[in-house]
Amino acid sequence: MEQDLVYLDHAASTPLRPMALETLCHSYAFDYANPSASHRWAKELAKKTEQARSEVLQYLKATADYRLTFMSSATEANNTLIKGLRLPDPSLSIVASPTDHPSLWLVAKQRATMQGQALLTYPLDSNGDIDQAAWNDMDWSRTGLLCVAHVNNSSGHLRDLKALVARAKKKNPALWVHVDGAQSFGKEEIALETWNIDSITLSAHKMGGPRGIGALIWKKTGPLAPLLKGGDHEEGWRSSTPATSLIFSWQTACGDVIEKQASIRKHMMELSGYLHEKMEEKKCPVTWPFAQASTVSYIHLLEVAGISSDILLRHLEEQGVIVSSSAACSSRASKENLVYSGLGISKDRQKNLLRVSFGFSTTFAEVDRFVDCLANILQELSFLFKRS
Amino acid sequence: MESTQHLLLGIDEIWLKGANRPFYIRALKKHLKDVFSLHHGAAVKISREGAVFWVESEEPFADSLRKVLQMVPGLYLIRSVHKVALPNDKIEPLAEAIVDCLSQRKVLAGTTFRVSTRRSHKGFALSSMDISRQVGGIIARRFPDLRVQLDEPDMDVFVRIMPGFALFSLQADYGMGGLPVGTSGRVLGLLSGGFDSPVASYLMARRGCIVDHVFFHAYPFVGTEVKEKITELAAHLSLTQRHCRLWVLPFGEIQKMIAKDCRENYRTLLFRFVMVKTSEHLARQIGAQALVTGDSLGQVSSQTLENLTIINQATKLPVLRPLVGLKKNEIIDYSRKIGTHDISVRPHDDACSLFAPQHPVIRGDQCYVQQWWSTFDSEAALGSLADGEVFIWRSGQLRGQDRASNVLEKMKGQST
Repeated sequence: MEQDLVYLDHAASTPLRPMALETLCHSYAFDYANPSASHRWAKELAKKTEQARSEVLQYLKATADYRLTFMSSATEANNTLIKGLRLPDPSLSIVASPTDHPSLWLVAKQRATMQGQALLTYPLDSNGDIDQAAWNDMDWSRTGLLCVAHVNNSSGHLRDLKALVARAKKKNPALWVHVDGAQSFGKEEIALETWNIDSITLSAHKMGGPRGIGALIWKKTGPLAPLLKGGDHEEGWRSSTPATSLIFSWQTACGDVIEKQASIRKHMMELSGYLHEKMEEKKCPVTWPFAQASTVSYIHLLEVAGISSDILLRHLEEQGVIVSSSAACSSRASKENLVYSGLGISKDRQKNLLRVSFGFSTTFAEVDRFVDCLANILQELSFLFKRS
Repeated sequence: MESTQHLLLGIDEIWLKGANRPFYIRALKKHLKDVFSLHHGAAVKISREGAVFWVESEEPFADSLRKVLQMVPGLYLIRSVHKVALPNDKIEPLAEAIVDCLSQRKVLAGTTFRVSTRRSHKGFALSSMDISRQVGGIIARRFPDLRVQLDEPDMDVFVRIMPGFALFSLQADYGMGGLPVGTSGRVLGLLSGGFDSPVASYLMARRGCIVDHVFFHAYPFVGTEVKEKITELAAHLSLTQRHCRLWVLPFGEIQKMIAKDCRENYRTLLFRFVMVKTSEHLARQIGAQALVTGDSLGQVSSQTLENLTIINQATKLPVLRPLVGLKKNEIIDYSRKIGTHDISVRPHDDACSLFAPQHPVIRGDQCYVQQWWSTFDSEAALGSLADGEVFIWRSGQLRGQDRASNVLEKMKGQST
């Protein structure tokens, strides 16, 4: 695609950090030996991989109680943990939410069905935040596994994991807490030990790293059956020749991004404020379903009543602005979206949603262009809107 | 279709053509030559005997060829035919070969059959009836589950005796029939993604028309999925043609222009009006003598007599509506028969619900429409032709893609 695009779909995927690209190209060219081999070169690559491993663990403030296993993606990592974790008692239930990424919810559902366990959802209030009172009232003592996303990829909701986990574990210290950190790693502070999290999954391409690499970080004491068996790579936890170059590239991206984390967060908050301001200024007929909720500053869900958002998506892309829309096509036949329903958005509103997400490289000028384009499009098309 | 090296192709409606017969036969033979050269790996020899083409090749014909031949207008019957040498005018080799063939097929118990023999080699020792009786007898003895039935049997074992060899066929497939492509002039079919327009187009191809298609793409109000759907439909229908094109014209901006400037309840009708005007403009440039639409009377609001009359007034060309008297479920059945159903059934609309009027006009006012057209920027509409893209097929195979302006330039160049 052309280079002067305004790309505001970072929640879907992010541009590779320039230094990470350099590392990747160099590594692809030169690091081709198999790190599992017995020769010296292989052992050097294996050593460098261990270095990358421990760096990522440090960013998560993980102690020696945790292990990091490289995998192809957060999806694979979620599948590994959710399907493979042995619970002390098969009658314990699993808690997850259809509002989270399907690699949490659908996988939890699959496990629950296959292993005959109860699947419960954690409760949300009318703003899509976790309902604290209802959370406290849940039967945690009969729960074996909790799966929760730190930051919701569709809506940007931010979960106060420290407090939530503390309250759940107070009732059941043996509860296994599994967190999906795909959207938060690199942008939010995460402290595994202090927050008492048992496992977390990460995705490189959501934070400036390359696609094809992610990780599962988990407490060594957790009884886990690996998803992939074979050559016993990653100490038997994930057979498959590790994607060495992708690991090194990710390592570079982490180093690049995490050292700037504070300034990046500040920038995102400013962009967020600017977005809202500009929309007001231009009197754009949009609403923010989760304005009152606890959300991150880099994922925004907005609603435009009266028009199917895929039409807006296409008008925006014609002008070089890329965002994400909820409707695949404005055709009448469509299924209910469980994520939006779970967040409290009724089926008739589900086709009217646009998701805008910022990245490390997003500028104020880009936000300007997006808002200007959207305002013009809405004005041009306003005569067609169906008002109920 | 069994894999054989011989085919018998029945020519349809040839009895209707008197002195014109050679014209039709030539047209059909040209189409067949294209089909075999593109869809069959080896050289073929095509010869005619009365109302039938015999096709012979060194390589056996693949089963996939049957589906292609069933889309050739003018062929009503397709038989794969086996050749058996008959030394010394004995019919035993023939009977053995038929029995062999039958053993390889799963023939249900109780299937009725008859043997129909014709002799091209009149000097053969036995008469046609004797041959039928003897061969029939051998089959009956070998397959006691089968019954002889001379009137409308399930299986007609077709036998033809030639000098030194025999030909036989166990199965006939019905083809499209009708008139060969190129014998009835050129038309332009308006394609939408629904069930109707592809069937309408097929029916005109069956009458021997060369059919080009035009699709009005309302991007960015609709996505690109519908364009892919249309392209697949046009590709499938291109099997009925030797050389045909799909013109994809941008329509999003024009729809917006129309909707801004007209009564809401007239929107859909006026979209169709402008499409027909633009199609006429295109038709004149490509030499099409008529437009084809999938209208069926009363199916949707724009298909009342009043509204169809208004649409007709948009053009001096005849607007052919082969489906005008058909019921919806008949059209859907047709779409299954011709292979477009599964493509048409995909849920990608060619019309954006954003524009749909609450109460579409049922009896349009001709005066209003004419007056509206006189103030509308028709240049913009007709100008969309230049920005279109064209897909080109040759006997079912995509040959290329080009800008409409280039294709029209080349056509002008060729005609001067």
